[in-house]
Amino acid sequence: MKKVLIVDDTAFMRVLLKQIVETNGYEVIGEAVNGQEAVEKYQSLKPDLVTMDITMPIMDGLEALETIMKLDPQAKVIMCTAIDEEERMIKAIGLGALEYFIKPFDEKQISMMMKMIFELY
Amino acid sequence: MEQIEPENIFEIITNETVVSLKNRVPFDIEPIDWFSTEEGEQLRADIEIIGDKECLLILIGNKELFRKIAWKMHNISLEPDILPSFVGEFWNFVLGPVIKHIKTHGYMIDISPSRPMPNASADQIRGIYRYFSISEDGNHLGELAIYCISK
Repeated sequence: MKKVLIVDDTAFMRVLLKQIVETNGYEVIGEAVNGQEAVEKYQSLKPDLVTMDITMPIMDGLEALETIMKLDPQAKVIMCTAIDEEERMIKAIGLGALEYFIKPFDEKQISMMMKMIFELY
Repeated sequence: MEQIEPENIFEIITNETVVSLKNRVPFDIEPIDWFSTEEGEQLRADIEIIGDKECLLILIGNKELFRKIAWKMHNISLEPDILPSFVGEFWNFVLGPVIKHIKTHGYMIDISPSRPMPNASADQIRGIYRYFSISEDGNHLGELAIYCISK
């Protein structure tokens, strides 16, 4: 079963993403509430996919993405952000993120995105 | 690009917030004159607009109403401890397009992270306000209040 690490500082988003991940038959192997925790959990849990919020305290999603990509250039990361942050999304793709979604998102869109990533990469 | 006069900016932010709120609330939404404080525990979320123009935007509503909104939007039943977090995120969803719209008029503004607050009250809040009754198939579900307080 594919393992997913959910990174978001908002409890509600973690609950919602967990439901989507599990509904699609994947396992949530861990959750992190900031970028620093995400990097630590990426190294210890070795997930197959990370969903990463951009705006977070302590270490934001872009810095965490950059660190994870240096540790593991094959890392699969989907970025998640609010509307009006297109520039940061473009930066995230440049840093190695495979996809991004904008909140509030369509659950089906995330499901398709995860399925596509697991099939293609 | 249509120019927004600085003296009208908070009124326009409020009106744009109403438009966005109507797009986000998955039920019937009608403006009302008075906000009832007798509908049980209220939840509140605050978001600050910072930059060229600064204000505090507040959303207040009944806990059960927010639970129904979460269910309708995401088909998810939220535990009581997660509801304030949903309210904060919902307010973020509402204000995202508002900020984007105001920025297109040349204002350099941004929003702070949302600050959810349980056990809230609208009693002491003063500012531009709009109140709404929320219903589904004619059944009253609750009320929402929004406030814009200039800084």
